[in-house]
This record gives sequence, structure tokens and C-alpha cells, in this order.
Amino acid sequence: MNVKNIIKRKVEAFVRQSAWFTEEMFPDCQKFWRHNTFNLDVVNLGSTSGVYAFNYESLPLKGANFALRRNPLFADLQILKNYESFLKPNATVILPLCPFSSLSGSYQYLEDRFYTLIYPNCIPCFSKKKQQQIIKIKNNPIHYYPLYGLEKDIIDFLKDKLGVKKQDALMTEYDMEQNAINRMNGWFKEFSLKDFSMPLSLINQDGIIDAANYLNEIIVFCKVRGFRPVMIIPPVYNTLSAHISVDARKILFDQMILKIEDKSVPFINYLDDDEFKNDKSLFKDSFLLNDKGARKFTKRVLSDLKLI
Amino acid sequence: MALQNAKGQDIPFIGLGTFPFEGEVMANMINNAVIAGYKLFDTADDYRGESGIGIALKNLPLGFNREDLFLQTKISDNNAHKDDPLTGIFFNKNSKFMQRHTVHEIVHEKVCNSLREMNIDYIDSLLIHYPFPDYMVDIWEELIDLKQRGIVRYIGVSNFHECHIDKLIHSTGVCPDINEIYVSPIAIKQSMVEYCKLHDIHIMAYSPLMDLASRRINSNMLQPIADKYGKTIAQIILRWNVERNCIPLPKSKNPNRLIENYNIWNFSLTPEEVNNISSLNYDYQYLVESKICPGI
Repeated sequence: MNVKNIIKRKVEAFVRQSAWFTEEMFPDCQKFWRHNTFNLDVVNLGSTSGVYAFNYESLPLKGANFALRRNPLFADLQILKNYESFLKPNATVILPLCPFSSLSGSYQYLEDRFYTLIYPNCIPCFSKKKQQQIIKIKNNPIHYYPLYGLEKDIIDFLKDKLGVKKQDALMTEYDMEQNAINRMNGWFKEFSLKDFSMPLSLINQDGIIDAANYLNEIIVFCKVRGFRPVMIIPPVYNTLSAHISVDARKILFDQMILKIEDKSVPFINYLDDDEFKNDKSLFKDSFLLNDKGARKFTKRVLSDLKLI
Repeated sequence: MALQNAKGQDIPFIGLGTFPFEGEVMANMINNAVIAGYKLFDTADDYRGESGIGIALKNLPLGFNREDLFLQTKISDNNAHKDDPLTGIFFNKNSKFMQRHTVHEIVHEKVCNSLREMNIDYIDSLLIHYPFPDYMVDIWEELIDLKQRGIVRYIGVSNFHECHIDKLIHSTGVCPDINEIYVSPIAIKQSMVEYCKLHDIHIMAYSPLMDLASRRINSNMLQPIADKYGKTIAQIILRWNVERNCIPLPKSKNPNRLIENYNIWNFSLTPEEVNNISSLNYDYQYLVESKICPGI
């Protein structure tokens, strides 16, 4: 191999590790591209909270975290349809729900990264041209790398190589409170909410109906194929759970769960679980678990489901 | 060699897989295979090889004609080649094309294309390539009609599980003649073999030697059997398929290999040897089926 090719390969490896590639273009995709473990005992779907809530490493069963950040319920169904061949018969399918999952039930838009993950038939308004464009970026990222990220990526790369990369520091109680407020403000803005004591807007009512429909579809899909679906709500830190009022819980959780047709599907709510909600060392922020929290929570869920 | 099923139909005991060969390469391979003794040739409407078969049929070796051959193709969703511009169009509930056209129109067009490309006026066997979740029964009804009209001699399926075949039978009362699936000593699909035997369905095994070529099969166990019969391990695996009533569809364009793969009729394996080879099974999965046919 000549020097030019060696340099090209090194640069390409660098680009593939860049924030642009791993966080902007194809977040959480690498695990699907590389996945080759069959006969899985348990998988979880889900969105951002699911990504951070599960880690099956070092457990006495085969598990996979199939959650993706910013993943609508519609995409959960598509991921399950595309990757069900990896599951063994009687596998458990965990469906983690975020506090506001129900309101985003109507989201159908799938980001460009899905062109690298799922079959065309599963992508609404699939475009062959778009697919070719995205696959080109995936296969030759070096041709598309934006220079604006170069300086930061070089610094991160060097820090990583020198082993001086800063670990996520634990947030202070004040930070946790501020983070919870910011999270709630963000969701209130996203869903045009003012107060949960008021009737929900029509669009949010539709969201709950659509969310329940997708969950029903996922449950039927699982049951027909002999999988065991389980709905759960991962824990959040107490500063955030304190902001989710009784009225909010009735609307966000109870209304949706009431619409689930198969009442035999377990629903486990860990939102306020004492084992987690007061232990800051388990959280990345008020909403997401960190690696330690994910390992502990995964063990807890699997134990509750009597899988370990 | 051909085997008969309870309906008195004959299907060759071994065939040739033809993906991804095209054009003159395909034509030469077919002609060499015909001379070697092959009669069954397996392709699909999206393999881009049908026109090569057409070229071969125009120039068959002396003494052979089309009626001697068994040509099998499939109804696909144009997914075999990554650059296929029709990807995502067929048998996709979301595509505008499927909202505008009936399954009848689409199957009719695909069958007409296959007949034209291969330069033939009937197809020996036509399969549904995958159990397309929303369309398999509609496509199956079209295939039944084509068989009744004599355009197709046998109809079948590919990559179907037991539940999919049950659905076809339940919906139409007609059972497939063939199910073409991946079978290998490391993926013996015993339940499917038994199911097909029960329903008088012929199993065809695609890529039967792939796991040997890719060294996934532990050849230490097979070598003594090969030595005993003076055969290669590849021939032992092909014969193992035949002993289990699976029709192997090995692929090769090498004339010597074509002859070697076909030359499996002058010996047979004992039931114990068949069981020993089957014991290599660990339910390996080559294709992630649900990534090719979501919801399978």
C-alpha cells in the first residue's frame, strides 16, 4: 500500500470518528451497521432515553440496545420489523417510553440516517436518489466532511489518543434542577403546552391516539411472532420527576395506556423509582442515565422480568 | 435425475444457481451446464440474468432444446442489486406506484418481461421471492391463475416460513409446489424440511456450498466421509441435500466445477452419515431475512 493510500485511510478513519459523522449524520447507526449477533434473548427499542437507559454488557444473556436518539414510535416499529431476524423465539422486546412519547405519536418523519438502517419500503416518501446520496456519504465521508468541525475534532482526537479526554462530571443539585427546568421548557415548547390542567389541544390528542396505535401495532407484531413485549418508563432524577405533575402523568401515561388493547402486556413505571431517582451518580443529567445507571437499570429490569 | 412428487410432477434433483451472472458469461455458463447434465436453472426477475439465459437458449448445444430444461424465475421487489433504480417501488404500501397499479398488472408485466428476456413462451417454475407482508396472498392468487392458464408449470415461494405458507393455503386452498430457502449443514432447517414433506412441497436449497467456501463449515468431520466415497466435501454436502429431499442449487461458472457438482449420483450417504452432517447445525443465519423483507 502506498503512502497516499495509507494517509487516505487514516484521514477517513478520523472522519468516521468525527462529531459530524457520529453525532450529526449517523447518530446511533454504527451499532446497526455492525450488528451480527443472532438469537437475541432481549432487545429494547426506544428513543433518546432508551439509548441511555440500557447496557447489556457482562450480563448472562444476549441483549441489544436498538434505541436511537430522536426516534419516533413509528420508527420503533420499522426497526423491529427490519431487525426481528436477530431475535430468538420468545425473545423479550422492551418498549421504553419517554415522559412525552405519547404526544409525539404522530411523528412519521424519518431522518436521513434511516436510509442506512432500514429497507426502503419502511421509509415514507422513499427516494432512490436520496438513498444513493446518503449511502455515498456513509461510504465516502471524506468527500463530504465539513471543515467547520475540523479544529474541534482534531482536539478531541488528540485528547482521546493522549488519554486526557474529560469524563462527564457529575452535575450539582443546582445543575440538575436547571437541567430539569430546561428539559420541561423544551417539551412545553415542542408540544405548544401551557398547563396540563387545561384540555389538550386537538393535535396533541391526535398524538396520543397515534402513539397508542403504533404501540398496539408493535404489540400485535410481537405477539404474532412469539415475542414478549413489555412497556416501561425509565427513571429520571427527582428534580425532573417533581416537574411532572399528577395531571401531566394522567395525560401523558394513563390516557395512552388506557388505549392499549392487549391488557396482558406488562407496563412497568420506573419514573419515580427510589433505587434511582435520588442517586445523582447514576445520571448524566436529570433525564438520562449514565453508563453506571444504565447497567444498574438494565439489571433491574431484567431481574423484574425474571430474565436473569 | 428427476424426482416425482405425489402429484406426479417431475422436477430435476439438482439445479444451477445463476446470480449474479449476466449476458454472455451467463450464456456460456448455461451451455456448459447443459452439457454437464443440468436441466434446472434458477434466476429471478431482478437478477439481470434472464437475458443471458435467453442468449443461451438461442444457441443450445446440439441435441438439446428448450423443453429439456427447467427454467425457474421469481417475482421480486427489485432488491437484488444495490443500484437498482426500482428499489422501493414494488410491493411497498407507501409507494405511489402500488397505489396506482394492481398486483395483477404488476405480476403480468413482470412475467411478460421474464418470458421476453428468456425468449420462452412458458416458465417451468415461478416463485414469490420473499413473503412480502402486504402482498403475498395477492401475488399468490396471480400465480395460481398463471398456472391454470398454462403459462407457468409449477408455482412456489422462496424464503417463506411455515406461517407464510399456512397463510397462502388458508387464503387460497392452494399449496406451493416449491419453497426455495437457505439450507446448509450449519442451518439444517429441520422443522421446515418436515413441514414441506408433510405438505408435499419441494425444498430447493440456494447457495448450498457457500458456507464451505467461506469456511464456516468444519470440514474435519466431512473429510472422512469424502475420502470413503472418493468425493470432494462439496459433493458430500450436495449429496446430503439430496438425501434430505432438498434440491441443491449450487453456483459455478467454472466448467470443471460444474461437472464436479453434478457428479453426485453414483453414491449415496448412509442415514448415520446424514445425521452426522446434520449435527453440525447451529441454526446459522446467512441472510438477515427481515432486513430484506421487513416484517417477515
